[in-house]
Amino acid sequence: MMDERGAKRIDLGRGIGWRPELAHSIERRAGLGFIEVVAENISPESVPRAIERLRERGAQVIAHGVTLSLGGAQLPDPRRLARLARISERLNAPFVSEHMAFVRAGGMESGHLLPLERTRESLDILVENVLAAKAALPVPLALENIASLFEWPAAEMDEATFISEALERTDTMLLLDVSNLYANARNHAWDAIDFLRRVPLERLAYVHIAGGITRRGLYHDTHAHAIPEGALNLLEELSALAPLPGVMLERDDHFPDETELALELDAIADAVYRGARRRESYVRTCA
Amino acid sequence: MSFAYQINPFDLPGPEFLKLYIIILLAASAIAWIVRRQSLRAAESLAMRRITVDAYEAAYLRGGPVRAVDTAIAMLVQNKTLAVSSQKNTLSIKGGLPPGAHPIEAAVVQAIVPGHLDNVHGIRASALPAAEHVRPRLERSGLIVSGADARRFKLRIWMIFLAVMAFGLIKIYIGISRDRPVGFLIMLLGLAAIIALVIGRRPHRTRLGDRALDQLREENAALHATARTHPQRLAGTDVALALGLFGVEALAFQDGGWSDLKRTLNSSPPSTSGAMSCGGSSCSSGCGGGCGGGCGGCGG
Repeated sequence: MMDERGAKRIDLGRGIGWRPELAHSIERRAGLGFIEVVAENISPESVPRAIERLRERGAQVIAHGVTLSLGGAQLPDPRRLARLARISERLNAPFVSEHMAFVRAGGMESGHLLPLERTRESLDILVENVLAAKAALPVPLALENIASLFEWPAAEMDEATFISEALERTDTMLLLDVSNLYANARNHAWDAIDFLRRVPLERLAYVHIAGGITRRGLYHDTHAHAIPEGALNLLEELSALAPLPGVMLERDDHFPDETELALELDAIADAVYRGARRRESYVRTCA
Repeated sequence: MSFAYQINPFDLPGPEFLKLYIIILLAASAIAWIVRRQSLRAAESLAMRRITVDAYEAAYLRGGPVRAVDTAIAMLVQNKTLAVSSQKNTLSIKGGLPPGAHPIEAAVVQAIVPGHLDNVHGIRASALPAAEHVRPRLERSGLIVSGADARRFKLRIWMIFLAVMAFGLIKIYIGISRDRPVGFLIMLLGLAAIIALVIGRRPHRTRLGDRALDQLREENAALHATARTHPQRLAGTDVALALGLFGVEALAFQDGGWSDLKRTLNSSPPSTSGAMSCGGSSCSSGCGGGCGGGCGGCGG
C-alpha cells in the first residue's frame, strides 16, 4: 500500500534529463511531457529561464538528487534534504527521486554512486534513511536502482529482493533505470526479465534509459553513447509487463545534435509502443 | 519693497537665486527625462505587431552596427573563413566565403587587406557601412530611433537646457556688472550642460526595441543555456542568433581561436592622437575637470 504522498501515479509521458547543453534541442522538441533536473545543479533561487519556459508549456519537472547518500551509514543531511525540498516546491515537482546507493562515508566523498551491500543490515539502514528523507520532503520520493561494475561479497539476497523490500518497507515509488538494470544483469550475469517480473511495478514512478559502451567485456553505463539495443529491448519488455507512466532519456556527455537526439527519443517511444502493443494483445487474448 | 521687485528673479540675492536656479535645473531635468521617454515610445500599432529579426538585426538592435560587425567576424572565425591573432589583434583569411554569406560577412572579408588592413578595429570600421544596411528595417519596425527622430529629440532636450542656461547667463552678466561672485552659478551652468549631454545622448533603441530585445532573449533562453555550455552542436544559424542576441562572450567554444577572438574583439583600439575616439551613436560626454576653489556666492 502506498501512503497519501506516494500513491498517486502520474502520467508523465516522454521526457529527458534537462542539461544546459541540451536546452536548445529540448526547447525545440515538441511533445515532451516532463524533464528531470539534477537538483544539485539548480538553485531554488534562480531556476534557469529555459526550465521555467518548459514548465509554462505544461512540462512537469522532476527534481533528481544525487548526493543524499540514502544507503550511507549516516542519516541524510538535513540541509541537503531542505534544499531538495525547496527545489521541489519551487519547481512544483510531482515527486523527487534519489538513488539506492551511498556516495560518502567516514567524511570522504566518493564522487560516484556506490552499490549497497545486499544484506539485512544494509537494508535496515537504507529503510531508516529513506523514511527520514520522506519525512523531510514535501512530495513523494522515488528510489532508483543504480549500475555497478562490482558487487559486495556475501550478498544475502538478490537485487530484485533487496529493491522490492526497500520499496515495500518505506512505501516509496520506483524510478526504474532500465540501462542500469541492463548493465547489472549483463555484468553480473543474472536475468533482467526475472528482475522485472519480481519488482513491484505498480510502484513505478518513471523510467530512465541511457546509453553506454562495452569495454573489456564490461558494460559501462556512460550516459555518453547511444542506447544499446539490449537496453531498448529491456524497455520493451518492461512496457509489455506494465503501463509506463513516464520514460526519459539521460544524456550527460558527448551531447548529440538535434537529429541524433530526436532519433534516440523516437527509438525510446517505439520500444514503449511495441511493448504496450504486446501487453494489450496479451490482455485481449486472456479476455 | 514693491511687488515688482519681489517677482523679478534677477534681483534676488545670490543665495536665493542659487536656490531658485537649482529648482529650475531639477525641474528642467525632470521634463527632459520625460521628453526622452516619450520620444522613445513607439506608435501603439507597431507595438501590437509580431516582429521577427535575423541574427544581424538582433545584434544591431542589441548594440548597434559594431555589434553586428562583431557577430559577422565571430561567425567567420567559427566557420574557419577567418583566423585570429590575439597578439596583434589581426584577422587573416583562411578559407573562402561560405555560400549564402550575409553581406556584413562579405564586407568583413573584403575589408581585409593582408599586411595593410588586417587590424580588427580597422576591419570593423571598414565593415560598418554594410552593417548600417540592416538599420532601415529596424527603424521602420519602430525598434531603432531614426536619425531624424534622434535629431528632433536632441533639439528638444537642448532647447530646454539652453533656456535654463540662458537664464543663468543673464544673472551671471548682472552679477559681474555688480562686481559680485558668480562662481557657484557658473558651476551650475556647467552642471546643466552635463545633464543636457547625458539626457540628450542619442538614443539607440525605442522602448518597443527594448521590449523586443528582452522578448527575443527570453524566447531564446534555452539557446543561451546551450551556447554557454555546449555550442559545438548548434546549427550555424543558431550560433549566429546566439552571437547576435547575447554576444561573443556568451558562447563557450573550447578551441583556442575562440578565446583569441574574444580577446581581440575586446582589445582597445590603437591610439593615434591620444584623444579618446568617440564615434557612433552611444557617445556621451563627461565633465571636463572640476571647478577651482575660491568661487562662491552670486551677485545680487
